Amino acid sequence: MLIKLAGGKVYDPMHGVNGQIKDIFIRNGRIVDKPSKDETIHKTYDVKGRVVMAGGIDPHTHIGGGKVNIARMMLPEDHEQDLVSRTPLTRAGCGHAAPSTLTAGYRYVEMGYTAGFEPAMLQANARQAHMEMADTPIIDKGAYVMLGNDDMFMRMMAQGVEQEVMNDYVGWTISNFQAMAVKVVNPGGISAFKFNQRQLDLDEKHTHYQITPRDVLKTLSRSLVDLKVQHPLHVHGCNLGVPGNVETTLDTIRGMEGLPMHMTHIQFHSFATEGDKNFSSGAARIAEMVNSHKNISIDVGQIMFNQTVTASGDTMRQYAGHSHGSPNKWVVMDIECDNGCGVVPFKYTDKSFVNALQWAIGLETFLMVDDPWRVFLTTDHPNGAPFTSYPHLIRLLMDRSFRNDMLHTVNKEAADMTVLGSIEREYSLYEIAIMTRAAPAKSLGLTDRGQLGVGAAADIAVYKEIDNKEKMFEKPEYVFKDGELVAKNGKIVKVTQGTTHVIKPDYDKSIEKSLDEFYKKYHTVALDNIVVSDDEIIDEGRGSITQHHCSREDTNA
Amino acid sequence: MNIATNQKALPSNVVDVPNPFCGTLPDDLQITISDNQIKVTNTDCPITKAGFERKLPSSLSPQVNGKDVDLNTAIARATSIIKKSNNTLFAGLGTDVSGNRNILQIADKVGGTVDHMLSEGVMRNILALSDHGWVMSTLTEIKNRADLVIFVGTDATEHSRFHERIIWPEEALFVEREKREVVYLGKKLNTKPGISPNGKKPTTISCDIPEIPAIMNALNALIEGTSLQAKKVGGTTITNLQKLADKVTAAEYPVFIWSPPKLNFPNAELAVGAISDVVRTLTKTQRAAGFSLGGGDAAATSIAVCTWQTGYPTRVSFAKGYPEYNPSRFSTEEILSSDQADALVWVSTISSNKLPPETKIPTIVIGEPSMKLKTTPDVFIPAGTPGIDHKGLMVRVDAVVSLPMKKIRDIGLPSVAHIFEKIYQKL
Repeated sequence: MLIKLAGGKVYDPMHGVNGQIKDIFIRNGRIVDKPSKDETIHKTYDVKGRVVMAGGIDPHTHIGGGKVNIARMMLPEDHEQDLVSRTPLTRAGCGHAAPSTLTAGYRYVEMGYTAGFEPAMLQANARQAHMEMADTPIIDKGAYVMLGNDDMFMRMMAQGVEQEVMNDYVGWTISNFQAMAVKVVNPGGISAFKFNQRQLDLDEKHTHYQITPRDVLKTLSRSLVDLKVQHPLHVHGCNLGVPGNVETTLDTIRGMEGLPMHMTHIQFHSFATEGDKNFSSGAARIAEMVNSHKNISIDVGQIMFNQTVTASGDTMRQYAGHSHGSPNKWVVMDIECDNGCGVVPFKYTDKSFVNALQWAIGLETFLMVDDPWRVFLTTDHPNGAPFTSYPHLIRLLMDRSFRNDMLHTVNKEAADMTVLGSIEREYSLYEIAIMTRAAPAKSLGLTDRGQLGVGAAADIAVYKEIDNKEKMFEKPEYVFKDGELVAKNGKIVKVTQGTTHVIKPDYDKSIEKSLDEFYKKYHTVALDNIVVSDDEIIDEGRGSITQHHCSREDTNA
Repeated sequence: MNIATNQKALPSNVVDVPNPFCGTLPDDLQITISDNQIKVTNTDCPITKAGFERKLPSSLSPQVNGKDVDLNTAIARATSIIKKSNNTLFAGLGTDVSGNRNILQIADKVGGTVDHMLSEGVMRNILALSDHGWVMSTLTEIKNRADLVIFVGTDATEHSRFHERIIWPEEALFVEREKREVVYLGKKLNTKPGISPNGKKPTTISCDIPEIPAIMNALNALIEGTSLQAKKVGGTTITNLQKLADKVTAAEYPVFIWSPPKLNFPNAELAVGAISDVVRTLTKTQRAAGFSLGGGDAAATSIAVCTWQTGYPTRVSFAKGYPEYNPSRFSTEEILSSDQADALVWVSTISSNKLPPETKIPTIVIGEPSMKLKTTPDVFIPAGTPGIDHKGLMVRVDAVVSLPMKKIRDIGLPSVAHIFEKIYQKL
């Protein structure tokens, strides 16, 4: 079957295509060259005047795994506001802050997104994360496995095991839990909280293991470089939510000494302490630092004013923040000598000084970081806001007068403390295409996604171009997944199953001997039973695995 | 149906076998198998042995109205019952992840209701969780970190290897075996497993189990430093509770363990809430955690799958097109006694003694083959047990770890997932 999207305005930053009028041809799920004249085109979509982009890629969205399921279990009252009925094509479910897996898949696609990456997969919970993602239809998915708090890692660090062996452990972990990247959350801090440490600054020692977050970050980042993993270490830094944590964040960036690092939901790590309330924006300093450090990429974790739920591996900071939560219920768990989780519902309000300033800090960051290839659009779903608020966020970035109108409605003191109103920048469609498609794909090493070149997977979103960018990005006219029309005018028209993106770095398999011993002695599951096999994900054809090469070339590390 | 002998393709000795009969899913079993009869060789756990070593009945044939039929006929009859029904109750749900997935798919399609057979106990936890939350631990954390374990209203004997595997392992990362302390709160508990390998006895605080909410509230007050005027609470003394308060505040990582089915009294979610309150109070200055035992008959599995697919743990109706959750009205007992359902599908493929509730509405039983039914259902389909007859995934009681169940014998029994996939195709 040969499909033609005729005459659209194409935004394909991977190939420098910036709104040029182009035809796109699709065959067998792939974008192909213009066919010869004698070939039959089976279906033509007239997309004249429409904006054509690759399908959106969310590089940081909590869509699968135990803590999300705890959030679901905790929030029956939130589901009730957004219950989703079945249709002849789609299953029933629930939406809003902690959507059901099925609804999450549909809603991403209805919004023009075709891939989402779960950023906090625990080894101990990897199987469930993959099971939940398997029940998230249509979109492609993948996961970042968490390291840097597990007792295996901490012991190895404390014993001064050489980098090569650490690399083997990291490689084993990525490969055996079917991951796409590695994340570290509050490096060493989740473990420290198990020893009743209530804070752990970048150079503070873990009381038991006597190592610092800085040690953890450098070792892990070095491992990923050595293993040629494309996506840099995905870092949820120290001191999340602590006023003054901008200093820690800046120190963290400096301390990497050129090693690649992705700092996630940086809004929560950009707080300074100026003003009467000792709380102010550190966004300008962060942006300046990011602008001058090409080894750093970020995503923002923008907050929106609404009820949501925060779900994080960072037990230390989630516990510290629970008193600000609403409604007043929260969960903290210590998990399997591996990691932890904390789930705290939050209601961000525009009348709150702190929340309003957080909102402004996120937007300032977006607008002051020069290079859209290094700042990805996220709300850290659902921690800052549910992913369904992306169209609103895009409008805030693209429409200065709308942004300033919103600014006038928020807490006055906060509005007075932000430079947001004076920022003139408006994102272009080209830049939006970078930060929501091309850049995440490039950062993750998805060589055939996030772009519209010949040979790429035909994951495509077609939008009516209208002034109100929120409306524009809410309901694309067409969404194609691997060449099939899956949504039309914001409604699912076909349900397919996306693939699971993984990498399998090379490592020395002799590491398994010591891991097996460790598991036998200290764990409650056998090593062979904790790892996740390819077969489980392929599940007799219900799922599939797409393995990417580990071939990162680093010049500056 | 004759018992097929495909056994040759499968090995006769298997190690690291995960155990579907215990909510803690121990995966260190060694089994031998000969003539399709399984023997567990490295444990005497009665539940494990009863499950793996149960004798197969002489016939594995599906039945319609008590008469042997082939699988397709039984599936066709089951399908027609579900089709005719306005509200099918899918209950029991003793099956693996795929089985639960496929049941939910059908319940969603036909507007039925789902409820797990152990949800009465599970709800005690769920309600406490959705009211206030909690601070919890998991098995490996307890094994390596807990220097004080307090059993509240349970002795964990339904998990006969819990003490051996989790409380008294030879080695742990952060606590020496003989330095662990064990406390039991309750009555008529078997405290013997709480004796350490060197003979150190546990502390037992005799008290009335239905009074656990009051006892925990008193303990909470004592931990907070409040002096109580009462001398007694719930059948024990404040002096005893003060000693316990001193113990838990001196410990590095005290873990409170309960078992929802053992908290069998009205509003028992308050007990879970009160235990969680104690842990929350402790967490202000030190570390502590709770842990809930249970999760058998795939309760943890069923709850996990239903939660991720619908947002709600169980007791969910799809009658209105969307998932509707009602922790009391959609219990199996309530649905049947108030005539809300007009057909019952009972699924129980793990235990053989979990029988369907008595009812006059058309009933389909997808069950473990040796199940001794009291009445003849309209349809009976013997199905495989995950971890014995087919591969499958199951979630452990802590709702964190899940395990791949092995196929260790092949006697031609279909999986629940397979049966419901066939039914779905015909709907």
